[in-house]
Amino acid sequence: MEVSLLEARAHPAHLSRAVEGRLADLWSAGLFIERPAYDPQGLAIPQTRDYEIPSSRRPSYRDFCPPDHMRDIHISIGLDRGGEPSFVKAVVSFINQEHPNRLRNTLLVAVCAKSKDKYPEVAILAPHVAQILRLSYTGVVVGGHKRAVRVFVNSDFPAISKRLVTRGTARPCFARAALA
Amino acid sequence: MKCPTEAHSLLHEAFGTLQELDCTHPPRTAAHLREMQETYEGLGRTLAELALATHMSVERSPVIVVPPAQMVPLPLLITISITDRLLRLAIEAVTQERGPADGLQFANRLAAILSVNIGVEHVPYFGGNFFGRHCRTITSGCGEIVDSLLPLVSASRLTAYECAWELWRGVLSILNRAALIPPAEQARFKDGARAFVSLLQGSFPWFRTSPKLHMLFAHSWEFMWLWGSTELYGEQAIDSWHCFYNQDAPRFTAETALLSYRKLEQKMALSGVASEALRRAKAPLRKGNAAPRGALRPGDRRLRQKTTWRRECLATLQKRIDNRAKWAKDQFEEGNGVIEAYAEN
Repeated sequence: MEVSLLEARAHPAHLSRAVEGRLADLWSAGLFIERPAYDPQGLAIPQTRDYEIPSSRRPSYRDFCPPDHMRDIHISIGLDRGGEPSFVKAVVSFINQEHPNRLRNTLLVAVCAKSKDKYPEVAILAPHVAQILRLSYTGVVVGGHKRAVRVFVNSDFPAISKRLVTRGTARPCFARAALA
Repeated sequence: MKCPTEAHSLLHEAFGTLQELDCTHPPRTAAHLREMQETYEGLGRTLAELALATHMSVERSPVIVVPPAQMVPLPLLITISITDRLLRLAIEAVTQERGPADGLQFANRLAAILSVNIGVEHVPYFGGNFFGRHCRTITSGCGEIVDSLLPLVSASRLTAYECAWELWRGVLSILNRAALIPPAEQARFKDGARAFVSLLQGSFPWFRTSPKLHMLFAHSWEFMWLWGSTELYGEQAIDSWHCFYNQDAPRFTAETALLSYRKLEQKMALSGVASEALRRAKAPLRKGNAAPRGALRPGDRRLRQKTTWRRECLATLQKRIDNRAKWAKDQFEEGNGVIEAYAEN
């Protein structure tokens, strides 16, 4: 895997290839686990349809949210400050396996220095988001099925999610618009 | 007391507040995020030009747009934050009923109980709180904390506090389980989480619902309901990388920080070749040990009481005592501030 240095950060040059490689490994090792969505009764919604690349240039689903009955892969992306000395680390996890949060099962996609304003740190994800967008357009072949890409965000950094820096009386909730 | 402005009253009416547990706040949507992305990047508008009701606290252009159902309610942060809040609540209860002097004394006593009886120490990261595993240890040993409160607060408060720890223990075991949760347990989790927050708000009048408590009360079970688990999707992976870097930091030293980042990334890239999947696929089958794991015999020395005393130098012990006192002082000052504000209102 090639590592790139850009301004003040390092990251793998081809995230989409790394993601495809990891998923292929999981499938060949027999460790790939389907992760369906569940209906309000707690029953798994069967995934029966493969993803198809749309004939138009527009993806058939938006916001990394494919229909529940479409075969998909789940990846989660997040970043956090930490360590000694403290760096910002962005990590991608593959949820379609038994232990998605083990170190070896994850991809460290970017490392950069801390900044006072958190926004530049979040911006390190921008090239990766572009690659994941492309991946979601082309789909990923796992186990002979072309699958859609469903992305989860697990970070409370500003501008990666809706849970943003608080200001005055407006302390936001990440899922509902409510004041503190 | 500061009176709300007319504009704020209108916002309150439109969106409600986190303190109203029965309020159904308007849900956020991915469409709003996309709209804000377009507003900031496409139209080049700034935050100052937009009203709060328009940007709804989306103050910068979102880097990634996903629907709320795919935003993980961060189980580790919830665990750390709420455990810390429960500990401070005990200090607040003593301060409110017995005054600041007793409150400070109790804070120091609580720090000693946590360190000596329960066996946990706070860490310099996570905002000077206890880390995830320690939060679970504290929750298991919460009886020690409740007992220490016995002579200091009224019986009704003590019962409510004890009940809150019981509910939190039930919620925590499901919230932090990295596995698919059966529907019956999900229902129990939802009931427990809602009862927990309602109990705290009902029994401690100065208590305010923080965003983390709101997440627990309103969203964590929604997420679990839809995807089967919160911990599977949680933020533990990033913390694993922090720990990995801390342990192996000398291997990543370089002339500049940038080269150091590259070394870390290269290490990840190389270890990725030997990913868990490939390692397990190619590993020979091993016969499992028939004997059960864990400390079962008296000589196993796995339990805290059975381990021999570890010798530590005076400086380490002194530092620990100082840190403990600082934690107690910080917690007391924060709690006392809450009680003073409540008394003024």
